[in-house]
Amino acid sequence: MKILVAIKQVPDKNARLVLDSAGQGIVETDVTWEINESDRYALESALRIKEAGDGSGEVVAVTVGPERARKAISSALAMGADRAIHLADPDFQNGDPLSVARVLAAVVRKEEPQLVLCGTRSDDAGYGETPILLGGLLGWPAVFLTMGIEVADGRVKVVRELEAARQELSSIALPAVLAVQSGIHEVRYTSLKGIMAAKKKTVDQLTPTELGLSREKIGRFGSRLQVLDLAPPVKKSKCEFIEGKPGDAAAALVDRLRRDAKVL
Amino acid sequence: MAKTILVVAEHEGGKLRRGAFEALALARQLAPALDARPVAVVLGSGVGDMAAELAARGADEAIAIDDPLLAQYTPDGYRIPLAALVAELKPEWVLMSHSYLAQDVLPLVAAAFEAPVISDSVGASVEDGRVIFQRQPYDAKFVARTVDNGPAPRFATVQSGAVPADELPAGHGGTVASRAAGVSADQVRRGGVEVRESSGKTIDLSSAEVIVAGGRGLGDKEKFEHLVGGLAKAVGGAIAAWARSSTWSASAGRRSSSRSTRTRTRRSSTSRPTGSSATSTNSSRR
Repeated sequence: MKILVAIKQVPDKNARLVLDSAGQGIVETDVTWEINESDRYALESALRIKEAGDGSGEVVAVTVGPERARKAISSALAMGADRAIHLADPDFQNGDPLSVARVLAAVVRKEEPQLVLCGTRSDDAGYGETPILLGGLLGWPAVFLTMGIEVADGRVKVVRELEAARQELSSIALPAVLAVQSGIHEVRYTSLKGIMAAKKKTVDQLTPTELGLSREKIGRFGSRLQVLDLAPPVKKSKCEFIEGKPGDAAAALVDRLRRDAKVL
Repeated sequence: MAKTILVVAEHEGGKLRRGAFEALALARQLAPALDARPVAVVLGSGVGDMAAELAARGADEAIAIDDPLLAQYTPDGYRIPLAALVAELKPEWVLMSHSYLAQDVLPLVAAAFEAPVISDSVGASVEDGRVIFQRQPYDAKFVARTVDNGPAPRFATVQSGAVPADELPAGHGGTVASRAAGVSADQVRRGGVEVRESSGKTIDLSSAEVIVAGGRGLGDKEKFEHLVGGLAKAVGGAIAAWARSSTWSASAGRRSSSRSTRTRTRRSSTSRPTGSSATSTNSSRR
């Protein structure tokens, strides 16, 4: 089975992010980058499905990202992806989730995988919708927050996380798009052998033309969504001590919870 | 035809969820400046009473899409009638609470209209006839004022707790209408759906009505459980900032180690400490 895994390179979670002078993005110099967390779980899931199969499977990593994203590609190959597609053309970049989904849909039509795995949500823009938009554009079933995947007989059994400590079990026919939740499996460490093997693997670069995409539908020009400006959040938290006897303090706390916090 | 803002109202156990009212509150907040009327839709089986409730709580029109096939949520069961309704009403905006269900289905509907979703917003305002949503990208390190420059219909979700719903009227007197689902069983591709309690102590804080959080200042685990646990139990709340071996931060809304606990927090303007004060009881620094 052929599995396409969409990954995104995002700033390291611990990176100190600085706004650019225009207040519309972050300063990218001095930022360390990594594969988005839930995307690593998607890749791990794909590798496990392949390893459980008959050996004919293939895991293809794809990313939309500038030159720097090559490092994320290398990490994915070192983890065990068989080959990769790097969509580095400037016309692909800075797109909103829909324009990214259009690019991924074109890659899916070209590659014809049976399964597409993505992370649920990027740690940078955080829209958390690209996988489901992709399913919509392809007309494939899609599942958000996948916590379990079992492939058998052209179908996939999926566990979807629900609110309030519940899960949904279901079965869908392939092909399908699954958005994988962080924590589904333990993600493997990259071995030295993996890193060495990655150097021999193929990384294809495709242009919009090769994917049959017009510039008006992708990247910055294809985006409907626009961030007018970015700003640090206004901090509103404050700490207050309620003095007095425990009984009185408790009554005062309950009153505050009811009147001010409006949680009771 | 008058312009509309369409609210997709979620429900559970025969009752509308709090998020449905919050999305309705946002629709009512935006409606005057857009010269639009708030319309709500509720999908399911036996949802007529909920439609009536939405009409009473501030929807000018509440539409019930009632079909036994919709008794159990499936993305196709919701997508097909929602896409038909959106095509009919051509709403300026389609709004939903940023729930798991919304994230599972709303992008499917949006994709049918070549539209993205302004997801997980924490508020919105209208400036010069344009709706500007506030989002919190980069793990809520920043606030991004975000717009959709595309034509209607446009789509957005709003974070749980971000827009208070307690100002909604009680006797609004909106009309109640219905639409056929127009879905056949063979169009529903997610099959054999079954819902179960998940194993392990996991809880999603985004759906918690009350979140009680505590930190290192409590000293040790016993005191934490006594005070925070006791208060949470007394008020029927969920505990945030609980940790076993991992460290994660409630303020950033995510774990820093994903392996050992499935307890997660979600950012919410009412529950999220904006500073870096909330940490797990036994955590090292983030």
